[in-house]
Amino acid sequence: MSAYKLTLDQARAALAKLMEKYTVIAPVMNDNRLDYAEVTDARDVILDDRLPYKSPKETVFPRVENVIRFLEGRVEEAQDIKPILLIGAKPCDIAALNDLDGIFTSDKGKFKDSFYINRRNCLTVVGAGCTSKKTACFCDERGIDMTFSPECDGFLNFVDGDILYEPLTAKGDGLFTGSEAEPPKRDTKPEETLKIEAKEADVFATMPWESYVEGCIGCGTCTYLCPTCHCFNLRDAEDKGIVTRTRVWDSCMYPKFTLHASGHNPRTEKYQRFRQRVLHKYLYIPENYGFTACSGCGRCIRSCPGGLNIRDTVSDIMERLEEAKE
Amino acid sequence: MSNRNPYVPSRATILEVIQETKSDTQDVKTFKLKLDEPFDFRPGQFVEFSVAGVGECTFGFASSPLIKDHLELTIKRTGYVTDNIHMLSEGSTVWIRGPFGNTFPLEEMEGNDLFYVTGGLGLAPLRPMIDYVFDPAYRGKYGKINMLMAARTPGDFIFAYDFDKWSKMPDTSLYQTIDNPVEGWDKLVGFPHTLIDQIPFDKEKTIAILCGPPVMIKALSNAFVQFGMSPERIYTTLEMRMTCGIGKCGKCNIGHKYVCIDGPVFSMAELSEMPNEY
Repeated sequence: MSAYKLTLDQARAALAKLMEKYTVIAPVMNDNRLDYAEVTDARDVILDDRLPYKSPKETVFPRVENVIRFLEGRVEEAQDIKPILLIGAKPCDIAALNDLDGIFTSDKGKFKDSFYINRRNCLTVVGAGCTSKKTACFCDERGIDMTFSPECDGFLNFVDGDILYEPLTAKGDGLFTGSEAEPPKRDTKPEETLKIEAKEADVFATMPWESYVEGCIGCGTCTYLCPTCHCFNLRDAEDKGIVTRTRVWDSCMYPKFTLHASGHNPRTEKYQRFRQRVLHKYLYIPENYGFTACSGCGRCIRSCPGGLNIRDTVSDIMERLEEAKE
Repeated sequence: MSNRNPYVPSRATILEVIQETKSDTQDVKTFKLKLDEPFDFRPGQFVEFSVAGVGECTFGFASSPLIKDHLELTIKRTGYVTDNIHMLSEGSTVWIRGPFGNTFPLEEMEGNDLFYVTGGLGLAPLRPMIDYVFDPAYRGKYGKINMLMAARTPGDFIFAYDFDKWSKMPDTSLYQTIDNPVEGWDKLVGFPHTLIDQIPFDKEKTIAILCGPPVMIKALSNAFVQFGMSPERIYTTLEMRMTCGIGKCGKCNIGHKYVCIDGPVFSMAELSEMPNEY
């Protein structure tokens, strides 16, 4: 497909039109913080180098979502889904959405996740690139090109003050139009260098896990900000006699996450919980699905009050595995 | 039910509630359920069972898969959801989705002797297999059967009303043990792993099937291995906190294996390859 050149003002006017059809989610200032949030005025959209504070995973996996309603003697699905157009998703966040797709739409275990698929089918993603690495960013080490992602429905490039819109799928076709132009030349994708290639037994009990978690206060912020963390709980709520089952985010960083009914808990210690978080992304998901579920966005590192660092942890593990080989 | 949304439960009605335990410390009841949309299951599998407005929990089937008109779940009162389940009576509406998980490899086990060892409520998830194997259509496919059932006190045995029937089954020996001696108790005393050497069985021909608290499973499997049994011949079914039952919610993994989809049935050979985090 070719690309379309338009000015920033033209793009904003097009966006205002799209807002009639879609709920538009894009980076906007929200209490002095840049967030992916619902756009109420196309002029508020900020498409620059900054990375929004939270990831856009709530577009497909809301923090709290009504999923089932219990009526008199029967149940019905209770999702409230509108077509969402996500504008300005960064390449790391697009990579993370693809990771979630891989997990929730896989039928490993015989079942796909219907609730996720319902939402994902109603989501259109238009990406926008970064021009610089920010503090704690490590998408390059995770093999992600910060300037461009082909794994979305369309991409906004910035060329000499103008916008070059590049549709990438049928869904993304026609969202923005202008004079036809050649798509920009791409850098080659960086090599995925930060990854764990080892057996569980070589990593699970042999690494100095306790040393990685000294600062952890168990707040779970890392899991809530992470674009690939997707652990959840189902909870019932009753209002005016109607019971709704909701899907809510859960976090492996909390001790109750694995607490058995008997009182037994396989993960009582912080280091065990951090080990789960790191290895789930870097060892278990690769084993089960064939990809590492970390996009190097750095959010968990930037916002950790205890200074935990998944990038340095994985890097240390890689060094130790290398030493063990010698 | 693969085309169906696996999170949407179907309705069931409680037909009967059976009080299992008679002690003050354990409170276990069996709920006999009639399903609006009956489904088939295999021994080893489990369901997600819920009370609307209270919440959902995971339970193994506790009745024979050959019974088609109802199913049973045996539930210990131990938290918010199970407190509420225990308050339900005949006629109550409940919700169920499943079946989930893998199964005991019943065909592979044919021709072998079986040795069931259970601790407390751990007998419940084995009952589908026990009753299946005892069915006249299948009994001839398996050899001698040993059953060692443990409970804290004499009043804590579940399915005690079946013991007489089971012990009279052909080529079957049934043993009961309690944790500490009690006046009037003439059966075994002590934890199961200390007792298996008192029970005659052929370690080359036997497949052991264990279910109980994690500490019991670990001690027992060590005891069987020390006794000379191969880890491939020892099976267990694991408990783990879980939400979805379909490998998505991220809770019940042991390493990269998910108890809900790769389990809950594992051989000790498989478990020895997995991290010791269960």
